[in-house]
Amino acid sequence: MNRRSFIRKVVYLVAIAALLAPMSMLSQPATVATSSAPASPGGKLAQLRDQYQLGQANLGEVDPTSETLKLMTLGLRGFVGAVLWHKADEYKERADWLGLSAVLEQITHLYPNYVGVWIYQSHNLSYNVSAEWDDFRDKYYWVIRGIQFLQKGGSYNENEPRLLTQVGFFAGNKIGHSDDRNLFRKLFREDDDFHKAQPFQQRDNFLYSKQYHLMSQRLVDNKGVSPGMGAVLFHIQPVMSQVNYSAALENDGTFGPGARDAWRTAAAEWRDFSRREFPDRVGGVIRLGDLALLESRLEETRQQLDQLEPGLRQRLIDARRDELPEEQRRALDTPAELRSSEQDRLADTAEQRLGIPDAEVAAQIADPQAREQADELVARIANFRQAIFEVRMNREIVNFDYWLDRVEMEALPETIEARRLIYEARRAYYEEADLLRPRERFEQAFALWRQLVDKYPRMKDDITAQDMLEVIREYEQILKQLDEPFPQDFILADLLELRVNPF
Amino acid sequence: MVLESDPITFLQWFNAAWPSWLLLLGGLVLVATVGGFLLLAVRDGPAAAGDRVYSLVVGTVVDLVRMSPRRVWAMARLAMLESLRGWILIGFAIFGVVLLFAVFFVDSSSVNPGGLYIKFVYFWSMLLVLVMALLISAFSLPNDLKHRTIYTVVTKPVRASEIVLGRMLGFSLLGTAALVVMAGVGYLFVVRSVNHTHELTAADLVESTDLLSPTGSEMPAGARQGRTSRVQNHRHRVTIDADGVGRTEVAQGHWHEVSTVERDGQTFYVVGPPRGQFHARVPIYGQLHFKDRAGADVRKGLNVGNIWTYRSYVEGGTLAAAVWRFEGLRPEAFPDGLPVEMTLRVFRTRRGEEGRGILGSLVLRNPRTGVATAPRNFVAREFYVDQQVFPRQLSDPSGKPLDLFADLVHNGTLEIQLQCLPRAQFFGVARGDLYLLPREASFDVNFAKGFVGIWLQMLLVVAVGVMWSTFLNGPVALLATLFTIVTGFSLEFIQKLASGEIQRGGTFESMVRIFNQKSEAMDLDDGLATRVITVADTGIQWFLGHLSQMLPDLISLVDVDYLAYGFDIPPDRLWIHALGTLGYLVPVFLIGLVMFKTREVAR
Repeated sequence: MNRRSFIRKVVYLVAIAALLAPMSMLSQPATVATSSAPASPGGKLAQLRDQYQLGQANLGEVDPTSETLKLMTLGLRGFVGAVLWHKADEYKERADWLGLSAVLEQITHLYPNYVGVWIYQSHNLSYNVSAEWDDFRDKYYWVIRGIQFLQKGGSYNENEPRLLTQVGFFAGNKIGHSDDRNLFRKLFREDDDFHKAQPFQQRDNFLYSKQYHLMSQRLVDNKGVSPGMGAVLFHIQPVMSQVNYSAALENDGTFGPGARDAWRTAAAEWRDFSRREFPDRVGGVIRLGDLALLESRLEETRQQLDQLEPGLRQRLIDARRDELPEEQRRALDTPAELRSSEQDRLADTAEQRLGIPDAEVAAQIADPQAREQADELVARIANFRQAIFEVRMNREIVNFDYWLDRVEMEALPETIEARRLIYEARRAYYEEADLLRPRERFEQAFALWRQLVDKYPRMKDDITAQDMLEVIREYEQILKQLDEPFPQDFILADLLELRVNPF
Repeated sequence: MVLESDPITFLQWFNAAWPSWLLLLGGLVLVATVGGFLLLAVRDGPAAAGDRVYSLVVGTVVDLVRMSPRRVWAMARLAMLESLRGWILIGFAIFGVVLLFAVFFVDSSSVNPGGLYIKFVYFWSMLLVLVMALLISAFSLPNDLKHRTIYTVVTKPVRASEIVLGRMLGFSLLGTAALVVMAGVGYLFVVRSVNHTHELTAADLVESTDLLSPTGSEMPAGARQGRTSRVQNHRHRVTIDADGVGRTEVAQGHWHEVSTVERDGQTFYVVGPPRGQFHARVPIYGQLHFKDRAGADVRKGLNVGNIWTYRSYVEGGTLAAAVWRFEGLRPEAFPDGLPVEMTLRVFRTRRGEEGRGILGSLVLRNPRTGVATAPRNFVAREFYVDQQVFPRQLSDPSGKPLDLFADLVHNGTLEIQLQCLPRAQFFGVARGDLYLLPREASFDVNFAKGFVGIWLQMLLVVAVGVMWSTFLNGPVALLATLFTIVTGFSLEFIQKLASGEIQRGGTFESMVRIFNQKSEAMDLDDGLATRVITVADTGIQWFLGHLSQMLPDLISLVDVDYLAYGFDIPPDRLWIHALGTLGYLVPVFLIGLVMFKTREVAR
């Protein structure tokens, strides 16, 4: 019996020794060079950690509390985390803010490098918890707690642009665009504890937002880390923060050089943005400002193709036209304005069939040498088409054309003057209960706005037009109170067509 | 504080509890006797079985009757001496380290850091004391058996009951000493951690433009306002009257008094220590009912869509109201008027005026005569405790004077009616959200009372640990005690599982859903497998239902919310805790004794 027990123990010892060798190879720590020993990259795990920048020191601030708590869970971090997460939801549901703040503190100590935890719970604080409170000061307190929560997460995850982006988003969106934005923006400016030594003039939530978006952008540009969202949407954010800042200045009653410079900066940043390179989906690079250039190059290349055998495309079209059914040909020959709906449909079908693909034109070229050249041109045309498609799609995503016109227009003295007149009219109407002065101011503003929308027709059918409709509604209210009819020849009558509900 | 069930008096509880307790105890004795007899009968035949069961029962009774307090105390001392050098010191060391580094674990910018520190100290004290109790109780007897030191005890003229009870008593005394030290150190830690003051200089103050002071009264002439310095992650807005006296607004659950001193011809502002940080309110709760928008009495108010339906809502701008009916009011309890405290929820269906709170009103009403005071209006501030003091002399809506007790209280009964004034806005209330506050008890005493719950938990753990260790070896006794603790803290959850209150909570059903990644919203496929799962889960529910009857209700002994939210722990609650624990300790001791007596060493 004793002998068997002895043998078993020897076997255990041998097995332990045998396992130590691979374990040592795997988990040996890296060392730095000293006078007596050269540097060692460590075991495989240490090398992988170094390669993927996963060491705690690479990720961000090292937190002893966090390490202690993780150790204390004795390998049950997942279970403890799940229980705490459940508790956090329960506390939120029961509006137990004391419990919630304590649990969030513990969760983040357990998962300091899980970015999703920081983002989810900061959103919880800034958006969900703040909405539970009635007093705007309390709401603001929780919005800021959410932002600080993200900033704390950022200190543990220094290479993580998503946290910086979220700070920018919260500061811009929650403080600048919520129902309580006027009060929030004021509290934000006055918040000495949050801003510490930052000068009062720079304490604008949109500038703060822009600062964080730029930090995030630098991280992506310099370190090549993923932004965690579409590139175009990611890089537009600092520009939009500047736009929002400029608009907010006017909303707060700042006009003149201050507003003009802010809009000019916004316009310059939009132009920079239009020149920024973005990867497309086929491995190429696009710039949103290159649309006109790409379109002209496409047209140029197509002309080069047609020049290889002049008249060929037309012959192909004519041949295909002869193959069309009689009713389609008749529909095509009928002037568009005289076509019946059936003829419209037939003409569309016919036009689609008559659109000869460039590859087909190239294939029909008689001269073999020219055909080779044509194939090259067809490939270039395809590339141009792809690039144009990508540029157009991304321009639509960020409403590029509208914003480019808008920032240019807003920087004009006439626009700033129009906005000043509207601001003054509103103040006189709402705060001084005056009717005549606001009417006069509104009418002056409408006259200026007429010139602007004529110059920038895109402003007739977007959010700017919707904002202007709100102004017109206020103007109409004033006229009603003055017992005067709304003018038949109203200067912005074309904008009224946008109205969904008549006044 | 949340009051999800109506608080009951000790007598109400006792009258309902003692019959069930007797029934359970009798059932336990019967099952143990009959079960033991049957098992032995199968093994040794009925005659031998009868003989052994008889001897055991008689021996146990004799042991109990002839127990000597002196020998029990000797056993207790022995248990204490054995354990003193072990886990207790480690426990103290850990507690000390935890408090030293508490600042890293606790969010000091919380809305109520005092409450958070209390919860922190309470949690760690509970954890360490229970772990200590677990370790010393589960390993002691098995270690004695393993090292055969038990023979030196059992060869002395000492009874099995004295050994078991002595162990329980000795470990409990050790645990008590440890808990007293932890409570004392914890108290000092909490009070010292939140103690602070702020700086305030003349440069921080400007002439006031507000119409109301922070307390809601009219702003005195010449008042100045400003902000204190930032200390412990907060600062206060402050209002000073023309004489240089004032107070701060509430921040992080407390406020400060501000006074002025003149030195060398200069004025200095002195901000006092934090006030209102720790409370031990002794509230009088009323019975709550509602009035609907037409003014008719209804049991509940409106539901505005919250998942947690604890609160009902009162619609503004209508006749809807929440009415609390208070009973047993005596004039001598309210010499300075009627202090009413409330914490309201606000639900808006429209924004209302920017930056303005929702207006509400309170009316005191005689439930018999219907005589009512003129409404007292207030601005609701959600989640803050708002105190309104109604003086003894009041007036009705026409200005006619009313005496609080002569005109409004009938046979000690008074109604308070709450209304929300703006249309399409709502107040959310529950029974515990509005109460009368005749007095506050001592926070220090309340803090000690809060630790009584931990002490009772410790007694239960020690008793259960010793009980398991009378017939299991050390590690198994440890696991069994740990199981008892974990289930004791999860009793509410287990009861919900057993009653089917937790939807889709069946053990096998949950397992299947996890493996199949099927959410709770989806039904399982019809078929034999599902039927088998349902039957198996029903069996488990039956088992859990009975198990939950036998587990110690450790979670109900946790009174930390009373401390953290500033309410006095009612004496009745403590008596219920104490007697409930005693009711559990008796059968645990008996089981331990019987099991110990069945061991050869104890015969």
